[in-house]
Amino acid sequence: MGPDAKVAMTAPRLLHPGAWWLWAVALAACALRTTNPVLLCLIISVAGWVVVSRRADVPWSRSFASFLRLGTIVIVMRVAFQILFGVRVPGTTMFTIPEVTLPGWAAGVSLGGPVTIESLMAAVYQGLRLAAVLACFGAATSLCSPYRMLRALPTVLYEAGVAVTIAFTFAPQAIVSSRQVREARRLRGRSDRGVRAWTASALPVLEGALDRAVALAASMDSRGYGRRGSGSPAVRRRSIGLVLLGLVAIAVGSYGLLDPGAPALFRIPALALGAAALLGALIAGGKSTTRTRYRPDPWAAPEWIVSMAGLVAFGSFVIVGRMGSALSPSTNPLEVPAVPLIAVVGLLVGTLPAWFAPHPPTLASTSAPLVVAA
Amino acid sequence: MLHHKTVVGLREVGLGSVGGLGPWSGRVSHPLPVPTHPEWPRTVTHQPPSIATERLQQMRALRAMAALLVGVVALVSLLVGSAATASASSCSGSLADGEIRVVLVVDSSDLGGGASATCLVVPAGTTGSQLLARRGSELGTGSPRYGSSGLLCAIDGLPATGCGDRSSGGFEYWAYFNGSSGSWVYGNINPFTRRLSDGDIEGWRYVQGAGNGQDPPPRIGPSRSLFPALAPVLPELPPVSASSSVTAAPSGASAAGITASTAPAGADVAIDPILGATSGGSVSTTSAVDPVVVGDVALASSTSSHSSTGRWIGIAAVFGLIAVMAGGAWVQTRRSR
Amino acid sequence: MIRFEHVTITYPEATAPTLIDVSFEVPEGELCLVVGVTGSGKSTLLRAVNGLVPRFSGGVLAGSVVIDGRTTSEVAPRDLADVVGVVGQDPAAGFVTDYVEDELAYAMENLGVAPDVMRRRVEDILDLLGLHELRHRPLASLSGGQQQRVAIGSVLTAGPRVLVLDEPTSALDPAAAEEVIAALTRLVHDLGITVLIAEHRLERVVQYADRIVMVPGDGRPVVVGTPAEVFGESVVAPPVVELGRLAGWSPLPLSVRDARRVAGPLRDQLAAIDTAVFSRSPNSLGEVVAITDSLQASYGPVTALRGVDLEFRAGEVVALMGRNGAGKSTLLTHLVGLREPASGAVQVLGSQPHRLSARDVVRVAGLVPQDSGVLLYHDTVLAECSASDRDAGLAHGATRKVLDRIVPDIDPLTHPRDLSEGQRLGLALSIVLASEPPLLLLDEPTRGLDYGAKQRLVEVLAQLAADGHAVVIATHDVEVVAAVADRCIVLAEGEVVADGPARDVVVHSPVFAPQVAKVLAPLALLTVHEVELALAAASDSSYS
Repeated sequence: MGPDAKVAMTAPRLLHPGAWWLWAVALAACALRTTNPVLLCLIISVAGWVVVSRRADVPWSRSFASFLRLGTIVIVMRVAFQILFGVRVPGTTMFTIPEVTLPGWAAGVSLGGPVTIESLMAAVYQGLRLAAVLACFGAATSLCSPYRMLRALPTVLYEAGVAVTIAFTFAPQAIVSSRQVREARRLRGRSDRGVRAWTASALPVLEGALDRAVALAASMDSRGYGRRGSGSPAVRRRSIGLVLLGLVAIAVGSYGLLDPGAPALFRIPALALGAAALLGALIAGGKSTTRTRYRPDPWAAPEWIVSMAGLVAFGSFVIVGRMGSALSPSTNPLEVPAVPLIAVVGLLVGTLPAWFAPHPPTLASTSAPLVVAA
Repeated sequence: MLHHKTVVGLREVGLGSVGGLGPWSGRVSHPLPVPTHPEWPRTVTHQPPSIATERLQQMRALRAMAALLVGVVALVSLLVGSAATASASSCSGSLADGEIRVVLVVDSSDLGGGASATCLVVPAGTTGSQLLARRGSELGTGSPRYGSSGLLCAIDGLPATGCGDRSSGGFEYWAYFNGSSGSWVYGNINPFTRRLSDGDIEGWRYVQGAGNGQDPPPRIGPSRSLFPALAPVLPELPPVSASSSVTAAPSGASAAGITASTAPAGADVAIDPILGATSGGSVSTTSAVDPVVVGDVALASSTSSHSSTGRWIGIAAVFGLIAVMAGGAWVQTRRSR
Repeated sequence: MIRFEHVTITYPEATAPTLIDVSFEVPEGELCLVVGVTGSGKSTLLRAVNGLVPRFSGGVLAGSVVIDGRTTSEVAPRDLADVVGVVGQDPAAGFVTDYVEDELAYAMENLGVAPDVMRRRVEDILDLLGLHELRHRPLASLSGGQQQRVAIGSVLTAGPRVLVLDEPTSALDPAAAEEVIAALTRLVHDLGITVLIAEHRLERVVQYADRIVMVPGDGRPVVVGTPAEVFGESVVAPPVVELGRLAGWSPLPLSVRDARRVAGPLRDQLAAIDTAVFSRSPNSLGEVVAITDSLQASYGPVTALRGVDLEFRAGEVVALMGRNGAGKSTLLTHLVGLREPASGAVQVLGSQPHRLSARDVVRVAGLVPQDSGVLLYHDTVLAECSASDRDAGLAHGATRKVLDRIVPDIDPLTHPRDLSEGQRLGLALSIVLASEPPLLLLDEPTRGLDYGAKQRLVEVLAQLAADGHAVVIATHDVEVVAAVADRCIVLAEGEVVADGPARDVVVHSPVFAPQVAKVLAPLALLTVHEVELALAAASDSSYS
């Protein structure tokens, strides 16, 4: 650790996008493993704290608040659905809504009836879990724009071209789009608040976001994104096949990790297969593409700290999950959720990026280069 | 004689209910997982065959001992119960207005529990899930545990953890059956909305299966004989399995409103108890109840109240942390403005 | 270099082809200008050059487009990236990174240019387009003109041999536009790059063009030729050409310089005219509609407005001019209540617009935003019109009537997204104009409009002002300012640097003066129409 390393630790620069995404995905994985409301609230605040501490002065950094709002809507909707259509879980009845007798073919569905506190708490827990995952995703988009992630992707993934672009940029585009649509509604004299405004603007927002994503894909394509290198068509086909295999295997593996009931084959073996396939594609594709980097993002000490902080948090959840049922407190019978110390400590480690990630460059300091160690 | 045989059966088969012990607190009186030989479909209870490893055998020995203990306690209470007077709304008595008689079969033999049938007198319009809860409270086996989605996770505390999880053999879950027609019908019906009527037979079996109608029904057939004899006897429905031939309940039990089906003659294990007797809590516990169990319960409840305070402290600490972060974030946002 | 051979392009679900049997060729090293009325298919033609049409738009392209010996139907746009650089109409929509430098380097990274070469080329382009001060800025923090320059730079760095630009200066202030055009001509002259430009503001580029491709629309054949040939009979022509036609000059002048050489007699003829007759007298103005009182606004750490004191009166057309990023759009959004003042106050008809509900705001102030398409979100033009009638509580068909004045012959069943930029703007304009708010604000309304549509817009605005509306237009289009504005406000760095009668402010500015004023200086005549009136007056006085 010479003086250069110290400069890299403290000078304003943008962190490697992969580090932020790894950290955020690890937090999201924590959220997916638990329905403990205390831990979920802690996950949301950890994400929020890091966002507030390390976001840049750029428009996309405001997206965290939008994701929080979306999370609130998810919770409210989850509870509303529970009240209206939810299974009539027995317990302490809070109130009763008129029950609708459904015909025989819909025998599995109930409408109305007594609403118990147990069922509502279960709905809140589940909504909160989704809200926490959304908050983690919002933190990632606030801290690091999807464009930068797109640039950091290995070249072989370019084969997926337009699809990858749209997948990565759709959510942020939708946020920009929703702001515009709300302003436009106001300019046309329609209310920009309330449920009706939300539902009426949903379609234009999605349309606008899709239009933007396609325009972006067209622009990327016409600037050489996913260009055919010197490689032969056979090499290309092979690397595309490997990429697809790898992605599918990793998707299956992630599912296996997140769903404790999944067969063991879906976990580590699937992940290993996916990683191997992607590695093979990297090697095969790396030879045929001729891409260079202008100022490559360095992977230095702060990147290690940020990504490890996320992984430690995730690890703590895995350990707590093995030890008992603290991650999924019972709602029937309703119990006071336990606070597993290990998980709390793990999440606190997850806040380390708020101190150890470099500050992003500010508009005022535009003379400073974005990347010191190039 | 009867006792003796039961004991022998337990030892021979080597299976019993361990998991079922805890929740079956000292007030447990009648229903008991009584193991018998699996090949006899006529018997009221079944146990799956065992896997032979040494450690398992040790465990089994322990379980068997526990089961034995419970069996003894249960039999004692049973006898005590049979000596007690039946309540007005007992299953064998006449029904008050707006009451119905229903039999609930619960088969947890795959979890090392047993299969039991309980006759209950409940208000008309009771739902399937309410019936289950009522059974738990009357037998003192605790409320069933539900998952957050409303899925039934555990009856009588079995299984201790998990809820409808996927395993190598498919889903492990409590399958819901209706046997009012005389044969078990796999229930696609929601137990929270299914309203019971007089003479219904409900069944739950913990199965490992595909999660559809192919999954096996409870091992006790939905026979009319599960209802204790009444003055106007309910018409008997044809039994499901060809091998079933229901015999009359033994005399001593029926007096207490207990039905029991017996094994075919010649079986070396005689069966019995199960069953469900009494609905209105007509059986009172005696001081003879196993002190260990009582002690356990007391201990458990005291720990739970203690940990609940601890949990509140933990929650307060975490939310304090969250408040500090929120405050810090607010200050930072204001400063950057 | 670029060859179109019998190209016919039909979009999916379109009743008729957008382009029919287009054939022309652009040799290497030429600057070729594509002109045509709004919605005639210019953008389609440009996007067909590297195959974005039909690959990203859908539709069918018959015939063939050959570029540098390669047929676009056989080669994907990405594999033409080193040959063709394309800059779309909306620069922000095409950005694929977040920071200026990264955006400039993006195409080179894909092409596999060596890092040291990349560094050098980025520096060159930063200097060429005057972007060096912005190099570390986030793209989203840039003004429209700055974004446009970055977009051009981002394709230039790849060193393409053909550059295709769709209205590259439409969002730029006059000075920035000249810089960009100058940079482009330098590329053509020094590096031999072939440039294909679509542009509505012909006055900015026509003098540099070697060849004109005239797309008349409606399926009529494309006209190709030198500027003088094409503008002899073209319906779209820059003011200097119109002036030349009026004065009967031959050959037609294409630049201010050419025109000034032959304009001596005309100047003498008009010397006696009193230009005051063209200015509306101040006492025809009505009451004050809107006031800003030391208005300050900021976006994060950037201050957009610093203490702006202005008032707008009923019956006047005010032009808001100034460099890109000077605070024009910010002022408009405050006047319509989209943003709350950081300090100071905004009052429109006695109320603070940001406190009003949406329904009440449109009755006092209406804004057509810069990206006018965001106002539209119905399936058909007809649905937009009737929704607008409903929103504003107007009689059925009121919006449609305004629309027909601005963009006639629009198919009412078209999807708004399938309209051209100009038609879409016309529709948005109609929706806001329909409720006739006392204060009407337009942000860059003429962007993408051809001369005919602009002329109709000018008439509508003049009529609205005569009806007692206060009209404020933020614009870079000096010709429109010359044609319609009574008063001109120039903003710089968030401060008002000039506020006075449009004629005074505009004529004496080297940047904001319209072509006619430049040709006839020192005479204070601004438009061809005024010259026409003045000539009529002069001949009347000479006869009498």
